[in-house]
Amino acid sequence: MKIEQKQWISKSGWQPAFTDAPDSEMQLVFVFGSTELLKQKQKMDEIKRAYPKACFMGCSTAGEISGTHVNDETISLTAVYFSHTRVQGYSVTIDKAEDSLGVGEKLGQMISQKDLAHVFVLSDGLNVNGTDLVAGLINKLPPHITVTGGLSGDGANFQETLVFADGVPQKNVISAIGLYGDKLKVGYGSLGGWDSFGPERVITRSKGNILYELDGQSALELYKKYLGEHAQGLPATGLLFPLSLRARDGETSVVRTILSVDEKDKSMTFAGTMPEGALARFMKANFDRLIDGASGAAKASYAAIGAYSPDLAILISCVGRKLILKQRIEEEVESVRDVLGERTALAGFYSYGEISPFTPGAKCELHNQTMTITVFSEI
Amino acid sequence: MSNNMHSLLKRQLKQYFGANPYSDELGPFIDAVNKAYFDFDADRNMLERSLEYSSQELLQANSDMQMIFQAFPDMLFRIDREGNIIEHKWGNREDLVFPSGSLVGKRIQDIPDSSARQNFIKSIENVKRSKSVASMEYSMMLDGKEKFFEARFLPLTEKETIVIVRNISDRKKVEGELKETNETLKKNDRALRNMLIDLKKVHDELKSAQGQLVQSEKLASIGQLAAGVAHEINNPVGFISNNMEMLGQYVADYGKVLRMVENLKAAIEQGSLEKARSMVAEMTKFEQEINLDYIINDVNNLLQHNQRGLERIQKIVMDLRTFAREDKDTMELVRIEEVIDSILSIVDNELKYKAELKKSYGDTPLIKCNPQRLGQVFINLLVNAVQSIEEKGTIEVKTYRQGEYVCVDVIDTGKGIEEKNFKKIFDPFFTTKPIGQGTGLGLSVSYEIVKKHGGEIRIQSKVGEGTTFTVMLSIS
Repeated sequence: MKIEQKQWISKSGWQPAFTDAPDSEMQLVFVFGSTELLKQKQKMDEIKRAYPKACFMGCSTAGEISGTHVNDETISLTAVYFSHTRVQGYSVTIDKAEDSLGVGEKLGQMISQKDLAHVFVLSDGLNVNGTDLVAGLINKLPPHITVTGGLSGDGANFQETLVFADGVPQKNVISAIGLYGDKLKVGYGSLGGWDSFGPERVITRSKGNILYELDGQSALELYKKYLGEHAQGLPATGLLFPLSLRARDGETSVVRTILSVDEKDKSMTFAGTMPEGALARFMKANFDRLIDGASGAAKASYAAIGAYSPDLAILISCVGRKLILKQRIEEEVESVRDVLGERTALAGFYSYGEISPFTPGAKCELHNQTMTITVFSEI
Repeated sequence: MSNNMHSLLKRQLKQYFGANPYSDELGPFIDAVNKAYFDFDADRNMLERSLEYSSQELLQANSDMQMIFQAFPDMLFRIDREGNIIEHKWGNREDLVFPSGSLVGKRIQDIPDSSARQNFIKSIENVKRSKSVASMEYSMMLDGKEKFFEARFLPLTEKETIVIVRNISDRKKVEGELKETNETLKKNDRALRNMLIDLKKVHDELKSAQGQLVQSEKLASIGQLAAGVAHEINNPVGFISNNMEMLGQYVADYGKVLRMVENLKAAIEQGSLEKARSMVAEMTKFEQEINLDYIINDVNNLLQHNQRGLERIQKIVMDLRTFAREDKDTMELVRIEEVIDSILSIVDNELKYKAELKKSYGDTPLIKCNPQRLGQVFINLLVNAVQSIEEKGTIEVKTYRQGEYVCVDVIDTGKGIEEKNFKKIFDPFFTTKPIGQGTGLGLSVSYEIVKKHGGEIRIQSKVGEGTTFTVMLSIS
């Protein structure tokens, strides 16, 4: 496996700069950047020229991870050459979030299963019900195939997210790459580090991933009460209080964050389904626990790959963590580095949702507020 | 410069000062900022810890409440103002309205059959308006059986209401049985009341019949006494009639004497002394003939005799009339001996041929009674006494006081009463007399009359020796 990493920063452009000669060897290029930058055709053309044979996989973000640095308004690029692994890209479009299950199934059906080792998926971050999407996708895939990925972001704006399809960043797109071959080792780990607090509330009115009422009261009003002056910053500040959700029958809880707010009908749209009758509890963050969480996810992925030092780690971390950790955000990436070692190339982005099984062998799920790491290595 | 630098500060110093160490002047300032960072962290940790503990307590309290909540056998619902179910708990399994699943998000008024829906809506409205407890009952078909439920609505908060739904089918069943029993009782009660009304009617009829019987019995005794009474009257009428004949004779003699006096007066006026002398002689002779002195005496006797006879008749007629008339329910204060005497004058004729009457009156106080009715009692007793005497005997009437009673004994020396009949003699229509002699009502009527006077009639008798009836009358 050969890896080349570049970063575009406004003051200095591409670092390191592209050489004039295109690299036709690279099979896969991960591109994570701000919505604004991804919309710049010139930059995209530049990348495509540099890697003419590569499959582009990337999306808009709420923060880019390059090495141990976390930046905004940059582009993080990672080009990969696999010695023994084949890459195939797939994409589908989605019109409305309600279609998520069907769209997920459609994408799943498209993916060729012969020699398939892993599926990495990136989705539109706003116009989707991540829970349904993942459910649809894994419905159509063999159970042993692991799926990881995330929902694209748009800073703290929650306006427009883009995902690469056919080499072009686009709205309302869900893309996947299939990684084929038996030499590829993929490990993954996902951990939050948030703590629940306060009373358990019942979801009394909701529809799909749209939440209206908790305990018979407007959920939006409840959030505003807790956020106080930060309510102005909704939906982004809603991430300060993600919801821990558990079904009544003692199922493990999942974390859900806000994607958008509708003042007109007093509703909040979440990244995943908010089933009526489920019990919800506010969560709060603790810096140290968040950083421990990231480190825990790294350990899990490292263990899953079989203690090989991985070549590449794609870090998908939740925008909510970035909003909390602020200036300390790089500490969580550094903690990943501490676990994986200097050898591993780190890249990734801050997302509106993470996709991964919680633990190896478990069902793939949509998460929020986690650090989700996928590590790759070829043997 | 502290050896222990806050990670954020370290990061910031690296970011802003790079690899170049900052000037020594900034040292104390950096230390102060570093300390502040650690202080903030410590404060934040403390706050987080307290939040953590209070959350745990809250959850514990919540779960305790849930346990209590779950322990209720009733169904519990927390609903909002529109009836939307926010939270609920099933009660007994047999009350399951839906086989599975949550009712959260459904409206409580949509659970029961349509018949109860309006009541649910009304109750929710009531609780909203009045903020007080409302309740209702309804029934539903569950597994083909009608189950009864009671729903109570309790205001919880401004926006929420607790609804407790209890299966009251068993209670209803018991209530139904009770109601049935009650209905039966009511029906029985009605029947009893009707019977009572009938009985009262019969009683009234009997009472009226009894009144008529008493009256007819009285008239019957008068009938029996009529001959005696007629005789009593006839006797004075006879001697008055004879006396009148005598008086007529005497009046004719007086006329003759008066005419002689007239003739004598004329002769004297004419001056014919001779004639006058012979007329005086004639008159003297006539006076001797008719015994004028005797006549003058006897006229007085006869008039007095007649007067007594008339008075006697008058008394008998008056007593009879007093006894025979329809009586009023009036009570008077009288001496019992007066009542007995007035009766004796009526029955005297019955008595005197068969019995010697002995009266021995004691010193008795006045008693409050109905003299007519008591009179009837004594007639019955005296007539019975006479009739019990076959040839000749004595009847004694004795009055005396015994405690709070005035007692009258009527003692005869008749044939007596057999002991086996003691109990029966006061029964209506019981009689030992030959047909036509008695109605069989005399003693029973007497018994009732005395009872009404707060007294009683006792009997002592020995066959062949005689009978004593004692009438005891309460003084008060």
